[in-house]
Amino acid sequence: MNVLDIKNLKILFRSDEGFVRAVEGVDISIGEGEKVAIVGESGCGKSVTAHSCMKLLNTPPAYTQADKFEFISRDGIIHNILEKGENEMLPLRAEEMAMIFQDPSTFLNPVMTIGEQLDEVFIYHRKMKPKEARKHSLEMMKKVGIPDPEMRAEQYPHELSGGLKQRILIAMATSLSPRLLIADEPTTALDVTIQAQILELISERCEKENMSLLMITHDLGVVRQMADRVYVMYCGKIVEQGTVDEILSKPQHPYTKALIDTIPSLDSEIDRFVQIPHNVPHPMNKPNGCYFSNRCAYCTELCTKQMPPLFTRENGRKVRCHFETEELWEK
Amino acid sequence: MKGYYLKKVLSSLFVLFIIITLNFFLPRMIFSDPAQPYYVGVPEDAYALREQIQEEYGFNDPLIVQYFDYLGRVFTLDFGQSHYYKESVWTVMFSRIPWSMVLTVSSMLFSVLFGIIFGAVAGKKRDKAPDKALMWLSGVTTAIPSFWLAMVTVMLFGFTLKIFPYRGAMTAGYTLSMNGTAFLITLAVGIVIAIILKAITKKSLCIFVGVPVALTAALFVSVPFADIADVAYHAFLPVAISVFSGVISYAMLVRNSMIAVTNEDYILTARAKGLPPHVVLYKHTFRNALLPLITNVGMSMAGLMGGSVLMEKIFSWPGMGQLLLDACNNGDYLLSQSILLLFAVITVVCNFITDLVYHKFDPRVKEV
Repeated sequence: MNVLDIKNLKILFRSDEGFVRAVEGVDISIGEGEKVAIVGESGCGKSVTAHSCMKLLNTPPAYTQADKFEFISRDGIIHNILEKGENEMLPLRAEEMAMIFQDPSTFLNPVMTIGEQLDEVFIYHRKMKPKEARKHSLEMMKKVGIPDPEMRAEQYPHELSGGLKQRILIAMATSLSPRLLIADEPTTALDVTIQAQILELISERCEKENMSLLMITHDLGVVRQMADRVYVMYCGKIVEQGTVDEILSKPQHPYTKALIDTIPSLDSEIDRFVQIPHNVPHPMNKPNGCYFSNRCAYCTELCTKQMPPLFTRENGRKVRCHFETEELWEK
Repeated sequence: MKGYYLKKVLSSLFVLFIIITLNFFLPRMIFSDPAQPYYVGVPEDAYALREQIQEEYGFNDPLIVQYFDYLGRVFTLDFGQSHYYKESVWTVMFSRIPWSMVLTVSSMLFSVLFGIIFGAVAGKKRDKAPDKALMWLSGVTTAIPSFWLAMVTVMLFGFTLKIFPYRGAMTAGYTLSMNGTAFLITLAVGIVIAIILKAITKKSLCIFVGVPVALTAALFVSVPFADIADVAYHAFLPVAISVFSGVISYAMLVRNSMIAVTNEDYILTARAKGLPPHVVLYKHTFRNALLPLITNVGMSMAGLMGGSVLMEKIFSWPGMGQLLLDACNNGDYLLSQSILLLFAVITVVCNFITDLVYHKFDPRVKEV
């Protein structure tokens, strides 16, 4: 049974120059207990997609539409996210789906103690008295590996290190064991040494509480470690999707291949880092035809004229490219 | 913690020292002959006698000697006699301070209170009718000088309609009767209760609320209600005008800071936690949005003391601003110097209190 089922999701942002199409027709589904990753460069619409799942985008400026946008809660009720108002979303947030954010230093309220911020989840969702809530908060802090939780609960965010703050955010998000955990680049702002610990903690929490995971990242290393299935996004469209092993070992879309090629290898001797030429096009000014055509090493005339549909290939893989893999890599 | 307070006290003392120094030298650059007011009745050409008077008051000593003499007197809190009022400077000043407080504190209170309410409403309904109204009003109130508005209201409500009094702080012929002992006892009891409450609940809010409540209670106990009503009646116009010109700047401050905080990442966290909108607004947004207001109120608290000179002059209010103006006009050297010093001390003390209070609301400041 699916936890999240999205068909043809479109997200527009109103700006002074007109509407910006941040997400253009994306299909995403997440099964129970499944770990799914969305990969892409900055500005490809992956964060916006994640925020729309919890209805955290403000309208205006953001406008969301979809043919189907369903979240199935633990009791089997199908929630149509798009039709829900802010008040109807409240019981779903934290209880059924929760989110871990990018930069732990800005996502905690600077004038409230760590304990107060953790307590709120229990106070407003479980109607607990502050003292009882604090007991649960301390327990949660122990579960995410925070030493001396009693002392930490009385401290303010600025007194904690980045890694500890991210653990607090993880504790906050998982305290009611939601069905779906969305992690929006949870390791981007952390030291490399802390990253591995945090990723391990997230997968440990997911397995223990039987949560599905939607991982938003630009780091293919994170994808390999965390995900079962992966969506590669480019300019608001999914360009390739499939299982992690297949996509990372046999990429079929030139963009995925280019992304993998940029990872420096320890074996080969290179002088410079490999780059994908040019930048991601501005969302107001996307190229005609395939959005990747202006950066693609295999671009043909057809690519600059016609946007390829998402072709289904063997093993249920989907690729948005006019060409079969073999003929591509031969060029 | 201790180090923080010590540092603040020391820096405040240093600022005070600089102010005292400036306060000594500046007036000596303005007045041509500091002994001028003492020549009353002395003929123009009696140079020898004038010389003698200057000598007697020490105006002929080198400036540096006079400076240290003045420093010594400041440290022993001896400000001398006001030659115009023929009374000690202390007595003259202390008879005026409460009247200034009536205007200052009540204008401040109402400006901040209404400022927060208007600002919060406008910030919440950004670009809707209340916000647009605030923007428009902000243009109007900045364009209208408060002294002009004061004169117009005096004309309209005082002379023409005769609804409000426009001269003095009480009806002519009346004086305020105040039971000093009752005032002090009530105040002391109130403060003790506040401290006990703080000890029990461990919330510093008890002190912030308790002290003003104790002060108000003490006033009502010690002053007859008729007198309070009379003063309030007289204070209405000047306070209303001060509030009118002050409230919009507070409202704009709160509005802008509300909008800025709404876009902060931690508000997204609060929403993602599934907190009801009113909790996100009051517990998360509001508390952070009021931080800049605290600094601003602390600074203008000091400014209002001197800033009420105009209001006091127009409404013949017997306060400090009026006194300063008269002292300058009469060349009442010791008095004007002492008033300026008092303003400076109030400023420094207000800043000090602001630092302490800020520190309670924003834990990040501790580390400074």
